[in-house]
Amino acid sequence: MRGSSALGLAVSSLLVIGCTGSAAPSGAGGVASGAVGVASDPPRAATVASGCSLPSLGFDLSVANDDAAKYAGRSVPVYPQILSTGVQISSADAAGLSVKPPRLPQHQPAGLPLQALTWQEGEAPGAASATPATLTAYYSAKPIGPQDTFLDVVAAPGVVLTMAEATGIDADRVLQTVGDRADIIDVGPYKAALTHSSTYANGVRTFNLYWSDGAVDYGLVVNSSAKEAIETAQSIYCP
Amino acid sequence: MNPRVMRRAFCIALVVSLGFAGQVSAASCYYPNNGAAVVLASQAVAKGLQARQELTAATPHSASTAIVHPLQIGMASGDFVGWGTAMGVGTNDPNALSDCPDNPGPRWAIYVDGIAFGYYFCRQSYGSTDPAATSQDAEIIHGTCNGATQWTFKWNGTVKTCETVSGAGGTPSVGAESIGYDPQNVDIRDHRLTYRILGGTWTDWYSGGEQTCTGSYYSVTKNSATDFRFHD
Repeated sequence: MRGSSALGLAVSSLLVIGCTGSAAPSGAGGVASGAVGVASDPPRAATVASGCSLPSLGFDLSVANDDAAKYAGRSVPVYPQILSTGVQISSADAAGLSVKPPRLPQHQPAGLPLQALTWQEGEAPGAASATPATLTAYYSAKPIGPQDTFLDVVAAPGVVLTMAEATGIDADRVLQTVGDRADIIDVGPYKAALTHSSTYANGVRTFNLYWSDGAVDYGLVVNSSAKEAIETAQSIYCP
Repeated sequence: MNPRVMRRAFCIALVVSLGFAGQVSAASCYYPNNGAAVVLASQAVAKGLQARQELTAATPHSASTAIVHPLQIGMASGDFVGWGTAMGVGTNDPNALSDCPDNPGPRWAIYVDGIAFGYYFCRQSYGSTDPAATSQDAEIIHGTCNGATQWTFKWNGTVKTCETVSGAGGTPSVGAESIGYDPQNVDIRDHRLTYRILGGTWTDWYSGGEQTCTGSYYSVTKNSATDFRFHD
């Protein structure tokens, strides 16, 4: 097992959350409707706010996506079948584990239950070219079928949370990559980069958050609102 | 977490996950049009992909159409990386980090594209190939590039660019696509097709969960386990 102890702790946290998440009633009632409101790109000026409250970014964080733009990329991406790649860890499996007290997420995004956890082994920890071990959590209004991919989950609607052994993908690295399209906010004690994605091949746009605690790099993709993304991320660190 | 406990979890989960082995479906073949022919290793996770490409001369249907031939790795995070050749209209995504310009031909432009932290990007400043170039070696590999851990893109053995996205491994795929009109003289061969699994070396193309996706206008001819032709 090559996962670092830090990631192991994170895994433990998510596994416990997985138990509670799966037991929670399913329902998309809390999901913001995509039928109203007009999504706009986050403003370019970065704002740093309290790590346990919603920041002020100059736009309505609760506005749902309503972008009718079509995917305009040159290559249409093909994504992994969620349940067939990596190792699926069920809540039942999690129940057999000795885990440390959870550090969260305590806030289930939009009330969506956790539908799947997948674990992907890493390689050669410590090496500069190592591929990190990664845990991915999928929250969705619908059960995840064996052929479902990232696109199916976010369209459900759903949420994808990835936790990878740190390779330096923190808020600054995201800012360096995407420039002023990212807003910098606080997620607990950490700086995070908020992005509003391009339109995916299935017509969905998402709000994404990226941050690192130095041991684990986090990526959160939410198909509802920026508010939901921020609150979900902050609930990992805030009461 | 105690490594032994985690290993136990891994083994339990592995048994659970085996129940999914061998399942193949068209559900992963999501395309907005019928202009594609793709082979993907739908159940593999790769950090690298290599192919030798044979490009057949092609003429886009009109000034607003294009033909592309990428290698791709799609990741669980929703990000992806693509690397290949294109001819015809470029990209025009209002939310893109960068767009590719038009390339009316007749030479193929080498391009990289992908999604980085949610945003689409496309770059096309890596030269071009002859209209019917052969033995074009394309490679994508995740590792160290320019001092950072990111994706490296090589053409005929030369590093052309590095890109950072969210994800360090994913589903490899190869294929051809037409954009704006179908069909459009698509004809490409990818052979010497290898991929690199995590912790492994370059390996012949994965066939355990291989999946073929074709639109209404295209076909895939499998010449061997590592040799595919995508054509009208």
